[in-house]
Amino acid sequence: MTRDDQDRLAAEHVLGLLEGEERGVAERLLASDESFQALVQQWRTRFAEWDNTAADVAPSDALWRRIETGLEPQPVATAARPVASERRVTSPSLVQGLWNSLSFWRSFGMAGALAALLLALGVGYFADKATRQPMLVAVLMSETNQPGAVLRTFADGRLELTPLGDMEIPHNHSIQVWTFPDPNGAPVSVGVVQTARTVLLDPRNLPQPHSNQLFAISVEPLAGSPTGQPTGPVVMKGTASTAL
Amino acid sequence: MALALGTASTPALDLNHALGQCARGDRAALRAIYDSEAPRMLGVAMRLLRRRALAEEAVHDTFLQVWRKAESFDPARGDARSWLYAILRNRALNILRGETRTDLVEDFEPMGLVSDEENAEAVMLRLSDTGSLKRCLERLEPTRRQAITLAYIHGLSHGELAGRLGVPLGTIKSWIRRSLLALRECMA
Repeated sequence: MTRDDQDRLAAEHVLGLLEGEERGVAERLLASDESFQALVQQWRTRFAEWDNTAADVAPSDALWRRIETGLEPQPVATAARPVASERRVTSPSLVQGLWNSLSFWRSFGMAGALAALLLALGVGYFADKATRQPMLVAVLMSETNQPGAVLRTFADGRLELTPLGDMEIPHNHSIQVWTFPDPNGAPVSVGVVQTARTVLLDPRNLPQPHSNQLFAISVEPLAGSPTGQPTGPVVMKGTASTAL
Repeated sequence: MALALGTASTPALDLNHALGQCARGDRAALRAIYDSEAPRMLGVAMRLLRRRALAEEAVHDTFLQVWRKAESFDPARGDARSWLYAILRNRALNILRGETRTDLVEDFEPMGLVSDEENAEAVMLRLSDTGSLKRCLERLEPTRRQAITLAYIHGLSHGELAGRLGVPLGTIKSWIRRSLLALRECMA
């Protein structure tokens, strides 16, 4: 590698632009090569002025406490335990137990979410029934098992995406819908969506989706994935079922 | 270097000295660094991560690392402030690049972002007139200046820059490379 290559690598490392193999090369050089370390240091110094253009943001009071706790983790771990065992002994009351039970509230939340989902599906179903009948319906669930969107496919090859709840798309980003026509193959883009509302997608060259086909949504740059494959985090997914 | 860093918000604290104290187990010294640098660090992390919870996470992890690694800090190899911010940027970029995949999914609701993105020209205006970065960036074509500025302050990847600026990936890569050459020459 020439000196110029190394310098470019050092600069792009400082910018945070390196990916894949180059990123590994830079990290290895940084750990072992003094001349590379010096190049990196030069770029850090050149770019440091940018850090001074950031607005100060007052940290929350809790932040320092968390840092301090991290420096000496023992006291917190021991403090939590007696309370839990005490509760087991002294409060057999079912109501009290439920009140304190995280999983109860979680399932309560899930039931609420499910009700909202059924309502959304129901409303959508009856509103649509008059005009057209979906072939497949997929409920896309987030990692926390909250329904995030409903996807319906139609005989004419179009798909309708209905985001649910308070989905927000990150500023200057889009969400991109993907599907796996071949369960073992690469995902195929169904469409890019910039606003969180019901949209009709009209993908070309997408074979008619089949029952159990997986659909997923990732967060992507505004114009969609630049690579043709998902590049951002997958935020929800679900499989399609036949609409009766 | 001293000039560029002289614009820091609270130049009163001797960071080199404070890091030396940290290496000897002095928590008050870490707290002093925190009081002096945490607000700016949180601002830098917010620009990269957009979400306050993640930005605080990056600052939190940075201070734990500073505490652990204070001993290895060598003033001969670079100044203390750039050492701190290198740790912070590394941490924040790691969160941004991959580690958050699960985080983002886990608390899906806060996808609503805290702060609006800052544009590159606004950042230009805030750069110190006496520093060489501003002078040298001014010599670049505005779109190229924008590309490199967004890469640094928002941690955008080549792909994201291509999407944002509406040019092919290869073009972005060559813009960045040529801008770096120009900056190196100008800032030498």
